[in-house]
Amino acid sequence: MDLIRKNDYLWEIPKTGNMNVPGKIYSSSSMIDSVSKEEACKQVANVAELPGIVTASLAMPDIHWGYGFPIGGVAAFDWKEGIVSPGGVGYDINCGVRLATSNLHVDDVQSRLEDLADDLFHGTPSGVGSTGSIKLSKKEVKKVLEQGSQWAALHGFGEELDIRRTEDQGCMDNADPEAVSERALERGTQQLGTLGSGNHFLELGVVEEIFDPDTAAKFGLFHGQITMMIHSGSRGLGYQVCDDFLADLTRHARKSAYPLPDRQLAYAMIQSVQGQRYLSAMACAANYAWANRQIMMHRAEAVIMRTLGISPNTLSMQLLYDVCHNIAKKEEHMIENRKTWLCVHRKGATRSFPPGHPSLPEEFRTTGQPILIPGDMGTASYILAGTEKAMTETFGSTCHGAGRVLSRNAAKKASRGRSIQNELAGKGITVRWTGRSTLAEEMPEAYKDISDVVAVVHGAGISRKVAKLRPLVVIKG
Amino acid sequence: MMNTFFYNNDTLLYVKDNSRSERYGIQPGGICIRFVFIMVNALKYRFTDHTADFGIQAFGKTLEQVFENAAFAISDLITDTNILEGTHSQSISVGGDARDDLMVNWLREILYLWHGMGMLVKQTSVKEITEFRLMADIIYDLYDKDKHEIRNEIKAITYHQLEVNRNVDGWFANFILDV
Repeated sequence: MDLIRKNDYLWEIPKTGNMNVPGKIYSSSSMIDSVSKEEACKQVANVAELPGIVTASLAMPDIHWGYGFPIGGVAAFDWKEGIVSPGGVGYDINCGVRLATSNLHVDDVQSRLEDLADDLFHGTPSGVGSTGSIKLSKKEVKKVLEQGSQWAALHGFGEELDIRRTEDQGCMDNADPEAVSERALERGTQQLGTLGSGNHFLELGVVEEIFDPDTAAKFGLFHGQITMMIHSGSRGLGYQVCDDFLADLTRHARKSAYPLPDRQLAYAMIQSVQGQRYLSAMACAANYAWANRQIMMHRAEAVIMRTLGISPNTLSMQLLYDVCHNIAKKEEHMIENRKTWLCVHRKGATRSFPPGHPSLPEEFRTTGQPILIPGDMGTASYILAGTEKAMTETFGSTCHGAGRVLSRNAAKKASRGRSIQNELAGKGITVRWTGRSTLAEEMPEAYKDISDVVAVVHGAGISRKVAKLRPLVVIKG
Repeated sequence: MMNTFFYNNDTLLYVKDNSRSERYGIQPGGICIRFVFIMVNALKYRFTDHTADFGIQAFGKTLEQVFENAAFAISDLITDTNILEGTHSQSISVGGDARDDLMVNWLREILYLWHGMGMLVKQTSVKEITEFRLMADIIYDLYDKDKHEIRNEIKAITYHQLEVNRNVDGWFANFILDV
């Protein structure tokens, strides 16, 4: 596929054939070669064919081959004349990340990392099909779907600050549980407060490097500080919502005169009954995910206090922020000098709102939105801040993580005869996991180097580096 | 590296990696009963390349068989089907608006039996099949956490690069699982 280099960080797929807009890929000269060989480029072009898309079909530097939309894809559609696509959100609706800061220094916990790993592992239901100790009736699940993080806080799993520092205050207000199938509700009854498997994790880290001292101070970060990061989503409920709507919309697409380049791109017009119904169901799943991460954080906090025998005051754990990766949102952006309502799809991409944006809590109005970018379990994670340039270039979006380079089977093959656990231990990382093959599939080499990915979004100016974290304890599903 | 093909009674054996055949003392062009026995699950399906997810190609001499083997691929990824006893059975009926759509809906149903009902499917037997509907018997065990190891969390069956078609050896189905 033809890729035209526009500058050090941006490549363009020219508008050809049925494309309504060009494709734009943020990358670097060292990463673009592998991107151009992958199916992902074709997927960026396919998304550009969808009705109502504005400006460009975008991809962040952690782009990789998805199904339908690429992972790392961002696409915005006119709210009146555009579409919404469940495939543009993904199965794990509101898969996302939160980071909590603490008052602990790495020297305070260095000798207790093994104990913390054991206790956090036992205290966090994880692994394939994991179920938690919270069993809900379908009626109660519906309340979670309507209230999101607020439900968790009302039931003693959090406080006001947590709600304020969650994207959308942990609740999308158009959630309508009547749009969610019985099957999805059923799957939601037993999985609240559970991590899941695959690339989901809970991680204790340490602030290793600070790039912007002013912003870091406003984010409450200091060198040597212990942090906790949680990566999880809406579990089976979210997968089922996506699956239900895809099945329905694919049937629709077959009857339509417009041929889809990939059936996984099935869509509904935003203003249609189906489109609104999907957005209501998606909001439900997003709210479930926020409640899920809120509950896990609250429980992990209790585990840390118990293990270390310290008070809430000593630990002083505070949510920095919670971001979603897989979502479609109604947002206002400037298109050709006019304020326009759009449906911004971020599939494996993070919101990156600038200083002064009204959606941000008061304390982040001068810094821009905190952005949390997890790397693989053996290297680093980054804390970034949102920028004005993201608003003008990427609908207020940036990357979401490292992005895979090895398939799960290739990773398993590459790990044969090695002990990934010992290799990580050699780097001072204590790991606990559930699935037999999780560790091999998730080995550091399976991912792009997170520092390369972050260098692109920082260099391109669509977010800026604030601090770097090094993992200490990793709990994998 | 040369690809090696083996046949048993009704299914194509496809060996991509010769180191494996060498390990079992087999030369390209030769055949070995023990090897055929060991590979018997692999004949029903194989992995195809996909960076983030599982790409699967299932095979079958007949259309019924490719549906059964595709369902087996799902079960085999979820758990060790060899230790399932097949204590329960049930009949199900699935519809679709074309053969490939029927395949996705069928696999969705197999996945839901696990996710929604805690059923681990040992075997399926397709009794009737048209382009738009199939009837099948499902033999399964109910999940017991002390007995059954769960290997992978399959989120969904996707439509991406979906294909159900004939080839010289019968039928094949390509599909990608979100994991």
